[in-house]
Amino acid sequence: MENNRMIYRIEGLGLEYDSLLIYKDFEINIKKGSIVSILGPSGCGKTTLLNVMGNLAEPDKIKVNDFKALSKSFIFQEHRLLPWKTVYDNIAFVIKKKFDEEKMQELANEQLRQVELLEFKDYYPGELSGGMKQRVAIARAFVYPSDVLVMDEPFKGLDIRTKRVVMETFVKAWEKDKRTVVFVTHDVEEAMRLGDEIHILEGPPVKVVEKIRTNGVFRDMRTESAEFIELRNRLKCMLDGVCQVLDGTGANNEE
Amino acid sequence: MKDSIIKNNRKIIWLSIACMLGIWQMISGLISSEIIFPSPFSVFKGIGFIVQEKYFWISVLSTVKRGLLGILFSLFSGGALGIYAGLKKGGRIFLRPYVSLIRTTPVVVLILIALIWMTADFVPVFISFLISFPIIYTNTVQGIIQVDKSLVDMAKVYEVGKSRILREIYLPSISAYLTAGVSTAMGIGWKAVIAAEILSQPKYSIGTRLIEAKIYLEIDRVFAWALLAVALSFIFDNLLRIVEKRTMKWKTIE
Repeated sequence: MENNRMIYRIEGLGLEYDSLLIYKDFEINIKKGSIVSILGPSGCGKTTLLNVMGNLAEPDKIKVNDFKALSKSFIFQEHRLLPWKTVYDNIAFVIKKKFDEEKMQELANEQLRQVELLEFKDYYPGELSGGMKQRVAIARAFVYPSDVLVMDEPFKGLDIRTKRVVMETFVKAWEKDKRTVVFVTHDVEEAMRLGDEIHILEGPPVKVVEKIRTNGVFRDMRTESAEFIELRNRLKCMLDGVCQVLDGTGANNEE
Repeated sequence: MKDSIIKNNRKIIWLSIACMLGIWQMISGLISSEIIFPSPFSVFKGIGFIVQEKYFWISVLSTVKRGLLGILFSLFSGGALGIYAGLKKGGRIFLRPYVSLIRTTPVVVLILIALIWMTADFVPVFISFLISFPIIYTNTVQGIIQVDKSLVDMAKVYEVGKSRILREIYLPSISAYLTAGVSTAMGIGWKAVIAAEILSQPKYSIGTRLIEAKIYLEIDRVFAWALLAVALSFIFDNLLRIVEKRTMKWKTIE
């Protein structure tokens, strides 16, 4: 049993929608200071869970919700940048009331440097590529002084190369910050690459069918160890029922 | 590519204006009565005369002031009520009969009622307000309804206050709708203001100068003032485009 001071908990979550039982006595523990990937097929109720965590949805029943009182920053599926504000102003927008002008400038510039976009600070979102916009969204999430960072499939819709760059940017920013991250995705590789723990959901009613602890060993995006490939295949099997064939070298021959 | 299209469009516009002048000249030649239908030449000469008139500038500026005041009033009231009605469906439904009433009542009826209620100087302001209010209100409501709610949700999760959400998300989102509203309101507003001035006849106004020219059967001056009114509308529409371009730089990028 983990020490309560080390985890954030949700217990006894119950939610019904259109007479369909989505959550029933659902429970999840999020270890503080770690990235927890919540992996599940599309439409299994992952976003609903995020909405409960972000106080954007009110469940029918809940016993313990440590998330309710926490401050949160978000990285959404879409970048959600204000098109009429420059990159810098988009970052400053969320912390304007939290810090004085000088501190705000320092923090915003530091985060922009972190995501390697400092020289684009005076650009408008319309002038940036999709990957750059999502990096601004990452900077915005990290600059905000939150207890938890919640991510809802933030790499969806990016091409493979851009996705890797954005994920690397995210990992770099996180390693400096070590914030608690709840990362919801339906993509096995993303969940494995980022997570310290992977919680696999199934449902409805949604339940955690397996919890895998990886301790972030797969964060180096350039390597694909045998262990990585094996776990990836197993998880894909679980999720999609699609199993890959491996050749003798252990290399992935999916492509 | 874009530049050559613009150049080409300009050429077509100049050609169209030249055709208009040609047709005008032809009709006036056929009628051959300067009192009934003056030629373009007499009208341009008329402009030369009216510019030198004692009350020219004060008349033009007074009309402009009245028109702008009316639009400004409706920008504040139509904008504020539009934001409220855009956010609250109940408010929108409640205000619907009032807006319909203002929109559908004939302008001349509004002018006649205003003449009973207020001084000659204020009638055109009131008319300009009544004409532009429904346009600006409707555009603001549309703008608010179209606001990207995901941006509002983003601001909410980052605990951005309501007044900042209004100022920094809603207002910029509706600015394009507002500018379009003001542009349409100005187009219709000038006509209504001059019509109101003709009936209320304040001391200094384009409308009063027009009716004076008509009484003295100086048709070239009537045409000259009408042409100036068109030019006024054109100038303000272009000024608005410049302001729009400057304030919405991000839009031209997107």
